[in-house]
Amino acid sequence: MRFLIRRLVSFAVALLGLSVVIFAALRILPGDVAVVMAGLNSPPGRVAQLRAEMGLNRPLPQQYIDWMAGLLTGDYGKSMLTGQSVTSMVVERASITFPLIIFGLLIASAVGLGLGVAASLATGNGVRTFFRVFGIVGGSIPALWGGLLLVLLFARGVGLIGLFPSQGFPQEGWGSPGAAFASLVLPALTVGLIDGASLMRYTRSALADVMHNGCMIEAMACGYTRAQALIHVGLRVIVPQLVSVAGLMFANMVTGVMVIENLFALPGVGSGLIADLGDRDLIAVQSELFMLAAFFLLVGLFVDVLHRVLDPRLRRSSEGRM
Amino acid sequence: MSVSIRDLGIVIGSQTLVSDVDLDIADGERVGLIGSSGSGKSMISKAMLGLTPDDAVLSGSVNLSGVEAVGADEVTLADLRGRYVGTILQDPFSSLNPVTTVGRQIELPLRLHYRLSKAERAGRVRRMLAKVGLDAGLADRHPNELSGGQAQRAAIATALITSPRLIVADEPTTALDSIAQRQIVDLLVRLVDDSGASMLFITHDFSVLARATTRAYVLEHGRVVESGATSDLLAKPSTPQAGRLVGAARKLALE
Repeated sequence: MRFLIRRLVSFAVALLGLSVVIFAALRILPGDVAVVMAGLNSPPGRVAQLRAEMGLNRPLPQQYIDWMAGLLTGDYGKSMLTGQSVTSMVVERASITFPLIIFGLLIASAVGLGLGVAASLATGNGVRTFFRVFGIVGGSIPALWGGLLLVLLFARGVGLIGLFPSQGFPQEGWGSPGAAFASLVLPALTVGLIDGASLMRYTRSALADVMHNGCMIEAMACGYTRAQALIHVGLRVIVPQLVSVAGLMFANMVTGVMVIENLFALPGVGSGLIADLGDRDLIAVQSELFMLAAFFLLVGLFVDVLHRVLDPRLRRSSEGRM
Repeated sequence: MSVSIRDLGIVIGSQTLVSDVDLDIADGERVGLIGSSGSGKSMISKAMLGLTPDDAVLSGSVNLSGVEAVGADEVTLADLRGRYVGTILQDPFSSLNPVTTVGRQIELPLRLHYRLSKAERAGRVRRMLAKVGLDAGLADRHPNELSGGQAQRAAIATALITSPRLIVADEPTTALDSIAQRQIVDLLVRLVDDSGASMLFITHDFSVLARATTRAYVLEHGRVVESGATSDLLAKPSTPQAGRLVGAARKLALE
């Protein structure tokens, strides 16, 4: 319980620190939304008028306090360009990005864990080499190149076997679940296969470490075969480590899918953020970045707590210190 | 369970770890296998259990009451392990699963070999914990919450929960202090004798061997150099190798 309270306090402090960094970083960037809105050749008076209308001429501390006060009441502000609520913009974009990440993570987990265990059990030299090459090559492929390869293979219209759409998301969104799901298959496969190859290497390496542990020999001495011991005991022992890796992977995917969203023309969080940043839509960008930062920190918090739950050794050592 | 090992050889790569080993254990007999570190003791016990490394090449015969272990398929060997052969390893903190409770660990052989209800398994675990002198409440704890002696008692309970016919104890006292060593050896001997099982007790310490076994084999560089009654081996070892081990044990006892 003390661990949880300590962790929540550090979460709040980190979030506050990040809010300052995000706010300051966006003010340092050259140019602002008033110039974008007024046009490059507009008179300075018009730009100043727009800045005053949007409150950008107020002192920076005042702007920061107003922004934070809004965040605390759940008001993430409105886009300076479109006037749309930032919350609704993010929710709309997240309805594409998060299913894509979850779908990609499921593929990565299935590929990574399945092939990781298979690679650990492989005895033939040829099979071992295959897994090694898959791990190295798969994990090294740039997302953009991997995505293009999948488009050339499986995209409708241009692919060798036209199975899935490769551009855009249906207008009606998840109101048309079949089409929405189909539009996420190739992007999710791209992130899933690449991260799955990395997860496979990690799983194989962690299982190789645990394979010679006394608890594996004990499990076999109790009556498991080598493969059963690896699956029932070895995997369970490395689960806390895998949770940490999956947590990092999940957080990284949020930013990693920016490239994928652009490649597959998906209007998700990543591509939206890039567009807003280009437009210097300060309120939208800073609130979006704050939500992303909060999400990263939340994933970290969740992984830390889950790690404690799954590994009793950490619980004991933590209690011992207090 | 009787054990008959004939001409056992174990080779890994170009290294011969064990050669020409003959060893017998009669029903209900407690036999010791002693030798210095690296003499091949543990490799022989692994050969009996089918737990040698993948790249080990075995020759000869290991007969466990009519079942040939050398060359047997993995499923046959896995069925023997835990059901008919109980194993106690050197370091209980390494051998007990760190992420499961002591109770779950102890009941594992029961879950793998017998169809029992959860309540029946829990009852057997409770009785086994009492037999090895542990409080029933320890069943819900994790290995890292136990002392060295408690952890080794839990490992003994795991090995004996199915009432196996042969116990292979591979240096079960090495990781313990001298008081816990004596307690664990006495406990093991009492439980093995009560159950009528046979035991192969592996150690490099003659003083422990004397308490645990009635007959012993001395191993050096993978070969048996002397065998006989443990008391005779201690009193008048006939080979220099056995003499060195006895001398070392006496020196340690005096210190």
